[in-house]
Amino acid sequence: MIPEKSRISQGQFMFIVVQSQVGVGILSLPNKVQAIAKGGGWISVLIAGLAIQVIILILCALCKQFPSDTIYSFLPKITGKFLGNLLCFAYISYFLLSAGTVLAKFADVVERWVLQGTPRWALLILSLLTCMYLAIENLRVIARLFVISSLTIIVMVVLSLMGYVNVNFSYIFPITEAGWGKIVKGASESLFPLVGYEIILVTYPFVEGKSGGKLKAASLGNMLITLFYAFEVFTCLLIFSPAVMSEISEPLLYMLKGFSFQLIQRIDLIFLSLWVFVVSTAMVSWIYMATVGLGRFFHRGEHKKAVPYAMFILFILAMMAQDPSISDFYDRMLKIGHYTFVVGLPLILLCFTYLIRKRRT
Amino acid sequence: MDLLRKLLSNNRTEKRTHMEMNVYSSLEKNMEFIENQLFHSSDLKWRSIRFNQLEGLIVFFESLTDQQRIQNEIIQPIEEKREGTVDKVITSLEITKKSDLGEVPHALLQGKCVLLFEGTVEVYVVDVTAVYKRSILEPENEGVIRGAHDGFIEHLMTNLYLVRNRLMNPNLVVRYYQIGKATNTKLALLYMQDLANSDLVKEVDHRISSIAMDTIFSPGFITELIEDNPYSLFPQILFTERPDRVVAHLMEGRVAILSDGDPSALILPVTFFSFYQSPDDYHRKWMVGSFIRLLRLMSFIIASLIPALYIAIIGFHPEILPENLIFSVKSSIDRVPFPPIVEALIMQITLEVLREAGVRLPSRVGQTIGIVGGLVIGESVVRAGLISYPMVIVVALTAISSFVAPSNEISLTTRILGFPLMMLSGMFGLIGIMFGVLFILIHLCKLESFGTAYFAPVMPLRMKDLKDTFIRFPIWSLNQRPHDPHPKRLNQERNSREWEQDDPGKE
Repeated sequence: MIPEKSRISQGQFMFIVVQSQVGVGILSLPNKVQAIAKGGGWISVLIAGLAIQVIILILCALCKQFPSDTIYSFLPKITGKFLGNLLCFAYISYFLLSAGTVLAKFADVVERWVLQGTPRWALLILSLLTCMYLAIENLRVIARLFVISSLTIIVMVVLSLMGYVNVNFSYIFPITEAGWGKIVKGASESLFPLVGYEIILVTYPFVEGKSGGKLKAASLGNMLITLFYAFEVFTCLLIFSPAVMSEISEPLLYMLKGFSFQLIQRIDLIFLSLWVFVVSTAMVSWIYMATVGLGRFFHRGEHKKAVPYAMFILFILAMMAQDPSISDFYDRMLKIGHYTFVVGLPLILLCFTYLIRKRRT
Repeated sequence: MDLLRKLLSNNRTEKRTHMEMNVYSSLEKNMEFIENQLFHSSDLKWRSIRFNQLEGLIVFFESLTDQQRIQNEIIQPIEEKREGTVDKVITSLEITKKSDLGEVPHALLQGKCVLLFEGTVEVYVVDVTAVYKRSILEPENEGVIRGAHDGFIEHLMTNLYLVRNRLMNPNLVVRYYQIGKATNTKLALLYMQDLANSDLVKEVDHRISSIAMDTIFSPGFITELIEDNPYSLFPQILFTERPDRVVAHLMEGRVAILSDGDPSALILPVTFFSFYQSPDDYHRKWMVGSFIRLLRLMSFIIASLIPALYIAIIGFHPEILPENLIFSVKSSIDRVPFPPIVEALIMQITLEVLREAGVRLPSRVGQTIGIVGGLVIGESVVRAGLISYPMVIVVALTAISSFVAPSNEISLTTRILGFPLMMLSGMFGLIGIMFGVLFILIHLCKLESFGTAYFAPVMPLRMKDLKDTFIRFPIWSLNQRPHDPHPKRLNQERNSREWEQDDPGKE
């Protein structure tokens, strides 16, 4: 059973979903989506959000069958002990790889934009230590911080609102320039910056209240994030002409670099600093997902003990990703992992559990 | 292992040795026993009396008792009446009969005097404690412009009087404790029976009574012995010398600990924001009060972040500043041989030294500090090209804003927090600061003291309590107590401005 101390409220659950979903992807998303879907890129993001909504429905339906189990404890119940444990390890590796990729991409961006001269390992250690300090705590403490750090998203929106001083609406028209097919393809591209809602699989049993409320909270979180992403993509599309857009890998930051206040000339640096919060929370939630599993297998449910060596694995993963071929490999693995572990497998498991239930009754 | 643990812990289980023994019928034997127990201390005095045709003795410590009272309340009536029952003759308020001689030395040490009679196996313990106390003054480090100007003193009874006088309510409960095996320090635990959470009271009671230590000479000891997170930099128990602050906190369902011999009350459990509330806020109009409180919280951010931000901007991202500002700053910095982090460290440490020196120095020499600090360090250091002007401004700003906090503990914490942040920003610039801030935030949301989240009501978020956190809403809108100490009754009243409701002219 879930101890009283790590229970979280539905509001906190929503913010956990929000913070897990916002990650490194946001900076490069406008560029990637625009390359495929042109001016309709923001619609792609909305479509991706809808798709995720469907996946969330599946995940919640699956978790609802086992109201007091995390994915690590209900997998063996469905598929049998051996296969279940094997799948659990697959999930753990998927989560760890995700965390590693987030970390690597974060380090890349920081190196490119702010700290050109700082050695990569130092930056990695700094961020990993900070994340570790939070990841060893119980879910309630993590949720508290996530709620507060969601404020940064509001600030980020406000900062990007300034872009509307020099927008050009003609850049996004015609909206369906690339055709609906491309827009849908763009949606599949924008699915990846939005991952993180997998946290449902692990945190679902910790949430207080009925399953309907939990679903509502997760959906609301997803909706907020989809809107946020769509807004940022939309803003970028309005500001950069299609020709320029393909040249810049982080349009959001370039956009902010152009603005200035009286006192602060480089708003992009402020934005990046806030983004540190958002990325760290996303990383913590991946780490939490992975270590809950590791803790269950090796430390009698104490995820805390698994955190240090998980950190070490992440450090190595992120150091290796300096090589572009390896980071591309990570990306490809994550795409496969995402479709199998978050979309495919839960669907199969859900059908499976329904069948078992029916046969029994 | 077990043996080792036993060896290590055997001191702790030892109780105060107290041997029960009956009073001898012989006066001399009794006296001998008492003298031996107190090792023939020179300030132990006695005087012989005759009452009911019995030889008797009055024993007392001349250093602890009020001899005028012994004269008036005991000796005079006894000499006049010469017979009767002792209880009726003596005019003192508190007389107890004891048949256990072992308790007598202890009673003597508390400033009581003991009456012994030949052939009687009971002693009379009469309270004639001398009270030497200073007058009630305004606490120097917690001054306010408006509002009450009285403060606690070193006498527990006076302090209790100050609280009770403000809170005439039968629900106010006082519990006495004696801790410190050697010092026997008297503590008082105060709480509102109908408000304070009973789990909280039970927990505090448990922790206080399980303190095992022989010397307790300051409330700082008690804080360190009962607080939850001794490894945290943040103070988790609020010290105050103001009775009005204590009363306000008691009425929120918190608990206060007063100790004899010290003017500061400990209030727990408190949140981070309690350290930034001052009674002044509630004497001003609410908008003004809110403004000042916001200013105080801003000053927390300034005091801990500004040096770090300065280092980050100068060392890593000068392009953040507008062009003409960069030029004027750069022209001053270029003459300085140190990197900004060294500059900042030198100045911050100098500041701390000056501050500490200012506390110790007698006020007559205090002027010297002003000259040395202000002129020599402020002006000459720049002229000599060791430190840049902007750095001096930054340090001055840090110092001033850290002193804005109404509690001395938090202001020290703020400045110490600045040091690691400065290091981080010296290494990683803005990103380093952000990680530092994140680390502090994580720490703050981890902290819990006595079952209360330290950073409530922000983490965990509770909108209703934010009314009295960053800004102060009008008093009449604060109809609920803050939720963080889990008070028994949350609602205070429904409508404070009832006249608006009763007004017959308004339909």
